[in-house]
Amino acid sequence: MKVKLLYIFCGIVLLVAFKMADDIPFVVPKYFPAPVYDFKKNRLSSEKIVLGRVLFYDNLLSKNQTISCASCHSNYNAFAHTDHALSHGIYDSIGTRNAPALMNLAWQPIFMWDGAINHLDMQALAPIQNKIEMGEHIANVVSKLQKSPIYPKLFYKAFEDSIISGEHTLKALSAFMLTLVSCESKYDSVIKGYLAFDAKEKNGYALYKNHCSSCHTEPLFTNYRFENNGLALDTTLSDYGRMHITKQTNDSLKFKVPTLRNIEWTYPYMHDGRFKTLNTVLNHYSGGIIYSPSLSEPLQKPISLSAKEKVDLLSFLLTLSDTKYIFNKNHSFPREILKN
Amino acid sequence: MKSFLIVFCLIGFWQTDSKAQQVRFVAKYGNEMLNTFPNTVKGKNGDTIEFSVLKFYISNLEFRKNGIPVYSPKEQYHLVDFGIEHSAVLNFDARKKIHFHEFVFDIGIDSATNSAGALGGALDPTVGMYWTWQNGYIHFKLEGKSSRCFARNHQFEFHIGGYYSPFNTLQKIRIPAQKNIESTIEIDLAILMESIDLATVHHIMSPCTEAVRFSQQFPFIFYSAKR
Repeated sequence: MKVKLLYIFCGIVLLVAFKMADDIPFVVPKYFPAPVYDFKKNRLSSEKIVLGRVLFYDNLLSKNQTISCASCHSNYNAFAHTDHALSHGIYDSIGTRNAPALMNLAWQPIFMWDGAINHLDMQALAPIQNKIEMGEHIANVVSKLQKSPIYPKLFYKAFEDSIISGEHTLKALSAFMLTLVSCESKYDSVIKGYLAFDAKEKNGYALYKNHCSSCHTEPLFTNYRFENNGLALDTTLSDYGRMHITKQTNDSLKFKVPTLRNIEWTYPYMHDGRFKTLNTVLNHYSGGIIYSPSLSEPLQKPISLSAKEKVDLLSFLLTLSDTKYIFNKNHSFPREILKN
Repeated sequence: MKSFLIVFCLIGFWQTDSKAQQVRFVAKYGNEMLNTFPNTVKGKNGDTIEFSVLKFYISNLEFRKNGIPVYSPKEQYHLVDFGIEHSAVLNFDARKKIHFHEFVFDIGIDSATNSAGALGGALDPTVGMYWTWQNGYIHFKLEGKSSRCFARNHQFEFHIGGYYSPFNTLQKIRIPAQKNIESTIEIDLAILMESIDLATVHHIMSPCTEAVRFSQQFPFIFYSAKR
């Protein structure tokens, strides 16, 4: 009897060890803060990440099977929607905001330009069920996935359950999105001591620290807060940002501070994509600020930048481009599994 | 050995039955039972009301004796959906016989759970009780039509949610319990409907002042069956 118990105990230990070996550790760069995402509630495994990647690129998630997450978040421009001021969805519907770039989501505590979403797991629900984005219902997505020839197997591999649920669908998407870590730009190499800034970049870094860093804070280049950065209200959209969620007037015209990482590729800029180039962005901050009661504190005092300083600041901003990130094959369309 | 196993199993079944607790929710409009949904009633204001959807979360249920919890079911979250048969009957296995005088539970989902990411079972977003344009569970959903309602097709839709100040709509309910293993809790929709001016308030779809006001009626609409 004792021997049998010992065998059972050893079997359980081996199974647990095998399962633990399946977990993929999430590597945090030494100069990054601790992630806010709770990996204990959604352990990373290669199977889960693959499933999330396939879901991310699959048009099946939309009502008429034409739009995937990648339609507005393409890997070749740091998962932004380049060239579209306002992102568009099914039936060529035009939205009201510019789809933000996706990266370093394990550190992001709140999502959407207005902070409507409080957790990465729940973020995907918003575009899936928005009538002019993907126009679908999560229950119907799950039903379509269950009938698909590929997904029950992929879900079984990822969750040891071929019965698909909303929870598992969202957690798989999170698993993939959590792997979208950008930390290999020239800036990162400088911080790690492998490279040095040139003279222009060095001066640009000093200007950044002086004028931009209170909101676009290192090393993630955002403080994830909501700020009114002095943009004039676009009366065709009447988008008051954070106030829409909190219903507090002091949140009027406040939007989430976006990261500056990979900013070279994530044009057009601002929540409504009103600025096509980084030059126009710098011109806004150094002479285009519109005063209103909720204007961000650091912008209350006008910022003055000479033409040379703008060039230097731009040189620094370009050091935040992470080529390895946008060419990472693990982030691209999963041709080996998906056909569309 | 075989007979021992049979006896053991029988004892197991008998014990489970003796410790089972059942809480049944029954919807009413005044004295009228609403057994099936949709269900049409004659309103107290002379209007006709058709209730099509009644769904709500029961969470953090406690069976209390003299104000002290004597049993808290392991499963914390239950979705009661009057459109689904048996959904309004909650069964618990208390593992030992319990004596209690009172039920205490929340209508809705607490703030920590609202911020906990993707969850399964009754909390899976596929059950249609989760807002997607912004975060948060819908604690209580009541939909229908009334001739008193001035909205399109006379429809009213009350989706009551909100988990943060100042629009937190989670409500704690305390109800005296019957002293038997099958308890019935009634929900009187007449009280709720009379608290609303349908001519002006017919849609609540987000955390807001109206939602808070609506939720403040919850403690008055739940009753022990023998009131």
